[in-house]
Amino acid sequence: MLAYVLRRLGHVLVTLIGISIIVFVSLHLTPGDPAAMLGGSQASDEEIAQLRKIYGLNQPLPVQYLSWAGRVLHGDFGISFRAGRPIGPDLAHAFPISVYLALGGLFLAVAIGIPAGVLAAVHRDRAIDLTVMGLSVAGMSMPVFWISLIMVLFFSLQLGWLPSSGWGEFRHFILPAVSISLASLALLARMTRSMMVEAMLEDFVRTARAKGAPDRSVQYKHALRSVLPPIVTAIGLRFGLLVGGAVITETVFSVPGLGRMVVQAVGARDFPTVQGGVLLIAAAVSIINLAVDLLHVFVDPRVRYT
Amino acid sequence: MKFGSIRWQTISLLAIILTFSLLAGAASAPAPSIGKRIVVSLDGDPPSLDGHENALISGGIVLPHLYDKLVEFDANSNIVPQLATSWTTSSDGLTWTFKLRTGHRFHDGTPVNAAAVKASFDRMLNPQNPFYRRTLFEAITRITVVDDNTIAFSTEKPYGFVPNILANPTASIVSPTAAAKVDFRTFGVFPVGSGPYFFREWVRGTRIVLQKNRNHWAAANNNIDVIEFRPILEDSARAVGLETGEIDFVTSIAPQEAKRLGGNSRLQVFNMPRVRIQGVYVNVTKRPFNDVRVRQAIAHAIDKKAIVDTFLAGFARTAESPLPRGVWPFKAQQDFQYNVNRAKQLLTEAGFPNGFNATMWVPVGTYVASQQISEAIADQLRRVGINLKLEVMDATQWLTLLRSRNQQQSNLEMTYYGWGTHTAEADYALRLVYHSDNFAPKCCNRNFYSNREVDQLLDRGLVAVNDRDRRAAYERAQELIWRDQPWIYIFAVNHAVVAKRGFKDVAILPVEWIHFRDAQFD
Repeated sequence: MLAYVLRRLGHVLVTLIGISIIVFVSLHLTPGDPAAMLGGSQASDEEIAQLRKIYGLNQPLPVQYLSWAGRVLHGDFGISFRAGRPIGPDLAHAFPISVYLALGGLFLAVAIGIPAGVLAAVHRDRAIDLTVMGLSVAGMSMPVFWISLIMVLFFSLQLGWLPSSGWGEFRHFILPAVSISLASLALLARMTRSMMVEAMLEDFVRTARAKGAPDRSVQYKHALRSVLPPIVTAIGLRFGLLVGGAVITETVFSVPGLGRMVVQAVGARDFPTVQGGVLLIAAAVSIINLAVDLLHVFVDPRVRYT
Repeated sequence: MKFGSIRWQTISLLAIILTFSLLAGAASAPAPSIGKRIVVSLDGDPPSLDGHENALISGGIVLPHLYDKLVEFDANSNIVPQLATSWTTSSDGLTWTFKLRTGHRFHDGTPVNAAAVKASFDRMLNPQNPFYRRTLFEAITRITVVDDNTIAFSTEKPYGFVPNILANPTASIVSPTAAAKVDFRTFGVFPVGSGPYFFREWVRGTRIVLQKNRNHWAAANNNIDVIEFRPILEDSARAVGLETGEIDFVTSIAPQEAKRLGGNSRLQVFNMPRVRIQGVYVNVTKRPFNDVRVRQAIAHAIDKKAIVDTFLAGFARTAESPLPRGVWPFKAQQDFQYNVNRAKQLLTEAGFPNGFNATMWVPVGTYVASQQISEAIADQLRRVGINLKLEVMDATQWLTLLRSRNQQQSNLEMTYYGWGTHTAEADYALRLVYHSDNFAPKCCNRNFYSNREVDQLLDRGLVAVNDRDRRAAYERAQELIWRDQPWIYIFAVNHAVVAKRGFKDVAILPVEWIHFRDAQFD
């Protein structure tokens, strides 16, 4: 087990190095000079040259990459072009916010999506099933941007229950969490339903029924349990997606998370912030994937890592 | 772990109930923001609150509260006292002497005297320090402490706009003792000035909170104790914030939203002039734009009024001169009226009776509705046979293309373009953009306009010692440039500001920053 974990961590490291190089190269290939953006349309050539020097953009690319990578290894993410300030504290501020939001969204998705899927499978082709599946199609196909605004108009403007933007208190957290949970919720509900429908036809379920196990026990202890491994994998993948992909939600609700920070930084060609942010997201996704694989030991007794 | 022993259904039901009870429990009305605390939205989180570092508008709106400057602009772009109570020019026009207010202190207790003001400028102007905007002040060659409350600025040649550049946010006076104690980055996060508000808190991406400085000489001029700035990136989110009452004052919003919010009886809309001109910028060295008749034809072919009414919802004014109103000495010119026949006639005279094809760059994210406006321009020009291919690009790519090339390399044919003049004077507005000394990449004459007479007038205006001579030079220059239409000027943008009713005397300045130093809110 330990050897396996160490080997996987090695893979994570290689992945991160690869990603950092890809991000670095693609940023530099993107047309647009960060110094030109920083200076604005009214800066003179001299001002731009000055900016380029301040941020080390006048050095050859490999030198720029290696000096960045060297600093990151020492925990220093460099200086933001836009803010002129170390990025570390800003990343440390934004990252937990994104994780917190992703966990909230995922919690809603799991807590509602899986039971809803089970319910739909058990009541297959009846009203409950059709309702759940209808809502899940809606949940997956409604654009996040639109549904977020609709929620703001309803819960903030019409009812005045929840703030429309901001961050810091629990009430700020609710609408964004619901907003990012919807697609995952719908996906988990559909996935759970279709796998449960198959599982309910399996021999072991019939056996459980035959021996007189109560319905709920059959549904949850036997059928759901058997389909958990792929669902856990899906949850893990969704989590990675939510950590880095909540850009729209974060923008609409003014949540100062990592996704919004990185997208703004791309627009401003704030290279160090993009590199640091993407590295962090990639690290989070890799570690979560590893964790999910390890989790399979618990949900699937057949899995053993050696 | 034994899944079998747990009642999963009960647990998920509990989770659902818990979730909904949290949803319901958290539902409480937004805290009312009455009295002495106001919440103001910003378009983005400012990169820094160091007065010397600022270049962005979002910072420019916070800074006037934290810092004093020697002088400030008023609503008509006149220079009014701030730390300096009076100033004089020497007869040769080479020395500007400012008398300082006595007894004022920075937020850390350091006295604001001539030595402190000089130290603040030395910090900003020192080439070792990372404040690239110092080139705005390159005319100033020496700063002298005359006595404790008198400071003098010297220039090599007469430069009539010294007070204008000293009114720029980059000339904010920072506490030299506080700035010396920490590195630049730390100072940008914990700023110390002498302004009517001191810094209380900055939660990154969420809020900047300032608290009233009761020892400030202007403290009695306003009744606002706490200002909370919140970066809100989306126009629609700012609009909802106003409608729910979470936000008291929105410093900028899309014109269409401002118009819609104007229908709300609890809100007031400010449609105020700014020093920013927009239009179509053409490379005057490239065929067919090297013919002035072609440029004038384009000017006649664009329905400026329709653009202002449709895409800016009236939050703009059709262009009247290369200078916007609010930049000294603005002088209105004869309009190139919307007239398709006249445009066709001019094109025929220039040898293009059937028009021509051209490419226009359209930056997104820098100017209001740039893409829609550019599409409208393309539609209108098609009527006179000019077919535009629009190349839409992000602001950084666009700026890089625009600025880095010299005349031989430049690919510019046409671009949607704007220019703001934060010093509110003609030298900055005209010399950088139209003088042939400032061809790209050196500076900002990026369409390679060259008119010897304009060059001479701009040189003369710069060194003229008295206002009358300067005014004459710049008024004539405006006429010549207007006739040449090196840009096809379309409109001057206005502020679109929306606030709760009850704000009085908020300074919404043409020079684009906004402050509450003298504002009342009930």
